[in-house]
Amino acid sequence: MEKNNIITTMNLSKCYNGKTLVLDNLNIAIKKGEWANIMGPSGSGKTTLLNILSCLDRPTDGSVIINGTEVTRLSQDEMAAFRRENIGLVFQQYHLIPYLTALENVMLAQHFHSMVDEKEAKDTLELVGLGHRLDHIPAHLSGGEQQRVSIARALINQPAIILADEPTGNLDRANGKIILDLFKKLHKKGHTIVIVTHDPEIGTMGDRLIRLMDGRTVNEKVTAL
Amino acid sequence: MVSTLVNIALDLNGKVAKELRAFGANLVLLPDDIRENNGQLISMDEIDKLKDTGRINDVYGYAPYLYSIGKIEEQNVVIVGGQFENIKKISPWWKVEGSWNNDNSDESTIMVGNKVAAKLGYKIGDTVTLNIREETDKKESFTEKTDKTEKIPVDGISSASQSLNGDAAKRWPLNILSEMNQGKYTPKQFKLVGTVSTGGSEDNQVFIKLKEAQLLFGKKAQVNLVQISVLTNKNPIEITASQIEKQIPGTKTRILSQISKAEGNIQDKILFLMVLVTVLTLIGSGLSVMSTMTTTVLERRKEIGMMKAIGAQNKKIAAIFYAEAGAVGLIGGIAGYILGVLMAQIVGKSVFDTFIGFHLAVIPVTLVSTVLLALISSKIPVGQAVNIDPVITLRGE
Ligand SMILES: Nc1ncnc2c1ncn2[C@@H]1O[C@H](COP(=O)(O)OP(=O)(O)OP(=O)(O)O)[C@@H](O)[C@H]1O
Ligand SMILES: [Mg+2]
Repeated sequence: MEKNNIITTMNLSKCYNGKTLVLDNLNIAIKKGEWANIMGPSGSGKTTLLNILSCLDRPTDGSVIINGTEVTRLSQDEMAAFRRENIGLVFQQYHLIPYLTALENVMLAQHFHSMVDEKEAKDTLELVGLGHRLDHIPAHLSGGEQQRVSIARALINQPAIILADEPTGNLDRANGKIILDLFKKLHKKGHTIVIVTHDPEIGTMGDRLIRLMDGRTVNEKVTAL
Repeated sequence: MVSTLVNIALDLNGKVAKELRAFGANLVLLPDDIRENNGQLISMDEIDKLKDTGRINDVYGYAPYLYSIGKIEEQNVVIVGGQFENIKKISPWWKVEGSWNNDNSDESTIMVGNKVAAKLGYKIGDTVTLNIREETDKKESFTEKTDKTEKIPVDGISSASQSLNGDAAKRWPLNILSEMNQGKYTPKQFKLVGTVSTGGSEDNQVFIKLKEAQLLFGKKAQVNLVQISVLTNKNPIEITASQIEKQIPGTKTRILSQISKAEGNIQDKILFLMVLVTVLTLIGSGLSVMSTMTTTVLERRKEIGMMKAIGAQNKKIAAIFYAEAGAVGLIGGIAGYILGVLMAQIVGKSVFDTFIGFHLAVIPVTLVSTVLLALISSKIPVGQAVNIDPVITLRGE
């Protein structure tokens, strides 16, 4: 196990109801600052894997080490605390709070993390290009803009790792490109990024592509280093 | 609702006590035994002491009475001298057709009981000739027959305490009617102004102004007894009774206990009913807050799942929902208070025919209890919120 691996899974398996084997003995290592894409057919276990890497879900077997911590040993509360500190999540459905403004949605993550800092929240929205949309509620934002708010929310507490499940899945090409440019920017700044995607174009963008098929990795290939 | 009930409950004691005044006086003031043996009555100066609120508490009203015997067209009648303004106050159930005797007028007017009027065929406006038994000697009147009459007033009063009306205190002179057939009578003409119906002994009596009675009976500024209506919501009636006996030496009081007890009983029962309704209302509103909060949590489970996914502590999620419930409780409390005050007024007006007073203390009580109620009822829904599994809620489209 290399020292500069920020995420390592060892013999990771996930089984639902004691029979449906969704993840089958996965051994994956992702380096610090790496951009890894996960692709695979529907139902191959991508979201399940990402949930486990996000410390939202637990594997049936095996262990996960993130940033030197064996997260699979953590209690529920410790897992939540670990998520707050280390992981930024971006969802396909954005999952913004509908009655809070863009700024408030970002500040909510600050509130859960520690203390709210309006200036920092504004700066982060600025970073994703929404400095002029601070006081809009999600319903008054386009899908792309909503996704950028959710990226700002994921970034606000400076997590080392950003995990995104089909972040462009609901967006058109132009908006998808804006989001991808954002991820490139973050990648350059040194964030570790893991993106689950169906988009082959995105698949070629990261440092490497992890292909999942029936819960196993296939043909893992390194696109760049 | 709760606010209404609390408001009413606080005001209730006074209201019911006043309401039950309709049952009549609950205390009778009489000359004590020594005075009675001497044929000495109660003087008007002594009665004025009842107004001294510094020494005697809780007197709502009182009415002095002077009795004598007379005849109308050979029919024996009890003649009652009274102050009609006072009678109106402490005996509001008297039904008078025509008009009342005017305490302050100089005209000789009379009111007669409806049975007397019916028997003799009198109508309002008629002239009534009342033959008043002459008091040849003060000692010769009721008090002379010491053995019997001395006890009669007492018996009369205690029987009054068994009857709900309390007006039976005035019934005692009837007992000696039969013995009053001899003696001299002086005729005097009165203008009939009204008939009295009470369903009690008053129906057989005739009523003239106290001042005139005192003059005609030769009992200047004196009365046989005073009916007193004492408020019992603050102090036991015994306290007022002993205060009166102390302030007016040579008198004794008789408590018409049934009335006072009825008063206390009814208040207890109404209070119990109110508490019961309040508790049931609280349970009802608690359940409705609970179901509202459960719905809220269900509707927002995705939001909650997201919050948990981005690392929210359980207590912070709980705090959000408790704050929401508390705010709902507070708004509900304010609205409830305003509604409650209005409803208390309506209840007060329709049941007690008076307005229910404001109790400032009701505001914090209402607000604190509604907020507390909202928080307590939210405990289970908030627990559900905290236990939401983000893996499941984030998956659902
Ligand atoms: N809670 C669960 N209970 C039982 N089976 C589940 C549960 N969650 C997921 N699965 C199953 O696990 C398998 C993998 O699901 P997962 O969501 O990880 O696939 P995916 O690769 O993300 O698919 P998609 O591309 O459609 O998002 C699916 O067959 C799914 O039905
Ligand atoms: Mg998926």
